[in-house]
Amino acid sequence: MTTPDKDALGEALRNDLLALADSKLVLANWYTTCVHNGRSLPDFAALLGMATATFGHTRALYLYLVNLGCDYDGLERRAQPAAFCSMNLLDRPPEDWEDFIATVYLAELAMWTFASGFLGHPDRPLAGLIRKIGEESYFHLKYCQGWQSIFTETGNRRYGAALAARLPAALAWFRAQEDDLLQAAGQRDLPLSTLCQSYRAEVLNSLGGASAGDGPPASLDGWDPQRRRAGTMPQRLFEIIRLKDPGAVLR
Amino acid sequence: MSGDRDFAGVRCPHCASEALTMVSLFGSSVSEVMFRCGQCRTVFNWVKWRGTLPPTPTVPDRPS
Repeated sequence: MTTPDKDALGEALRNDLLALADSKLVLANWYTTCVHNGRSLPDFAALLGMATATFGHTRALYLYLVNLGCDYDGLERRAQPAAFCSMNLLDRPPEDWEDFIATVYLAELAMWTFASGFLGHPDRPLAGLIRKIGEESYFHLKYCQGWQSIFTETGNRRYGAALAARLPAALAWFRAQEDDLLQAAGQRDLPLSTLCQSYRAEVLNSLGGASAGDGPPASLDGWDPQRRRAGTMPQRLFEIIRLKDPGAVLR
Repeated sequence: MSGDRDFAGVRCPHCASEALTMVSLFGSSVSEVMFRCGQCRTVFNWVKWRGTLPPTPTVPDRPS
């Protein structure tokens, strides 16, 4: 393997951080869109709190991406769904409360596991930003685990089924190109394949062995390694996450 | 507060009781957890961040 040049490394880091930031943008919108489905006042507070934190992660990552040559306003104001790089896992809206919790758990843990690869990044501001994101994500996952406990105690099987159905799309997000440039250059602590294995083990562990398996692998038709997703963000989702035109009023 | 290592050592700011119930994992701001004291019934917010990270794949020599 040849030593990657600086431009290729910069592009690889930019792509991965943008995939993380865009996925968090969509996840934050999941929280705000689903807040009225909360089962209690603490659910409302939690969903709004997690939305605030997750929008904050997106903003912080976009601001960091300016260091890598991105235009902040350009990132916020992208006008086409094809320009976004969010994970396929979040394309399909939740079917019910169990599916919502399962998907949020998978997304939070996937984003954290992916981001944790940069905890030892040589650019210390990035490593520090990732650590702060992790501290906040810890409590988002704790919220999901609280609901997981309730589902387990009440014998709710729908949650496990939803988790198993969504897991392949979550695993696909970690898909690496043949050469993991960032890991080879010491900018990612572990290979993506290792992060993916760790992620899968953690998810299955959360089910306490109750999983029926991963389900069939996610389709990779149209997979774009730069955007870390297959196909284009659905138009309906884009209409939710995009910043609205000045003067627009939502009804 | 017993039973949850994340909240070990939390005490009621009014009566110092450790007999607490967590009301909400997210309090009046994102950084807080809301508790109710089982002794004096005070409801209070507690700043929760203690640097704990979610499950993280092990890397030798990672800076702590």
